[in-house]
Amino acid sequence: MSHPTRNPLAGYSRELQTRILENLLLEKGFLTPETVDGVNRFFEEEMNPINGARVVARAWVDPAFKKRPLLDVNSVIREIGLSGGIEGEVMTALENTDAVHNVVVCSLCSCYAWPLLGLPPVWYKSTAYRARVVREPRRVLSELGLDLPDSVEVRVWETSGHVRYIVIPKRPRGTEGMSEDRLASLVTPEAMMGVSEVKFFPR
Amino acid sequence: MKLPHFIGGLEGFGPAEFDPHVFKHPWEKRVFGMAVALFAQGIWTGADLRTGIEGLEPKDYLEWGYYERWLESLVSHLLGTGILKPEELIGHEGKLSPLREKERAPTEISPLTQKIIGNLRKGKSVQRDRSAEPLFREGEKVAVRQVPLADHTRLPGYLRGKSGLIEKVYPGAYVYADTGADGLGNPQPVYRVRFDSLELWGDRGGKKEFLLADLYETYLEPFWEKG
Repeated sequence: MSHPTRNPLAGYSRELQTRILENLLLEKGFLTPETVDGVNRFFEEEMNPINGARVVARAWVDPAFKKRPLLDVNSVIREIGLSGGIEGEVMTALENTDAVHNVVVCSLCSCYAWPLLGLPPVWYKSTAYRARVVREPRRVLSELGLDLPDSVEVRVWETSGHVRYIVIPKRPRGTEGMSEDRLASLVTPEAMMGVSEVKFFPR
Repeated sequence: MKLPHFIGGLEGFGPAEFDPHVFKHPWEKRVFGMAVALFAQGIWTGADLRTGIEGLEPKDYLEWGYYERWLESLVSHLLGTGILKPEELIGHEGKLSPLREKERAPTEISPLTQKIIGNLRKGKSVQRDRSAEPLFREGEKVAVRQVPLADHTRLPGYLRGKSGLIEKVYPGAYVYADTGADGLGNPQPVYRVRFDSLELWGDRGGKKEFLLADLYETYLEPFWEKG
């Protein structure tokens, strides 16, 4: 059995360890000076939860479109100018209804549909969420502010294979006739993981 | 047994911490950027990252932040593969510039960075052609095998020995890079298996609650009624 190699930098702050490592990788030609910033900017600009929000908004206004991402997200997102990419090679959408509530987790690590949801937030990666939501999803959801009636079936999706999931939340009441862009602006990453609902408060 | 393979269902944690940020500190973002830039060059894989994390001491795994585990795994991989030598890592403090807060303009992007971003945008398909028919059919009841323990796995520990229904047979076969001990590595069918919460957790589960997991064929066997 392998054992992790002892980190010779143990004892330095994580920030200093990071700088030392980046410096060495630069020297060895695995990075150029702007690589890390460039990669991070790519994630902010192209792997942003607004992408998932656009899929949700389109699904809300177009029932024919909605049926298709439930099967295969990757083939339909091209129609709205999006594509897959790393950690989104195969994506599936799950529809929340009055009868069924879907919630997504990766108990082994943090697998997540990067191209549509962006990078996973701290809570999704936390040990508490990963440990608990697979066993007591209603309680965890309630702690996060979402109380589900007992009549609702809860499905917890364990992201353990090649598929990455996005939840299509219920469309909130009072949004009839709203533009797709406006609808997309209401959709949060948390709603697309099934830990909250989309809220709309008319003025 | 490795703690990270058995996180699901572990009791004693407090309420789920609801922090919507991706990074807690600026260095974490740099670790992420570096790690992903090395994925895109084939220097390491997600399986390597996870193998390193899953190899941490249980105490460290629980105490450390998410990107501390990434950093530790990255250093461990670079040393383990000889890309870096331990002596290269020490004695560098003097010539380090401060963390760059200000990002450069996009026009300055190097060919290497362009190639990295191109690979990230493309992704990397893990789907392959099938060499054999899947062993199980939709609607069939299956049991999760007690596969040998491994340095790295895609089988959540709490599913071991439990039974569920095949809800979907994914088309094609799938690889999961760089593992072997628990049977992964060769392309194989993947199934969506549906488990009843009461089967998984008994009295500590909940009614009208189901867990769906995508499981590689090597983790499954036919279900036989006991007795």
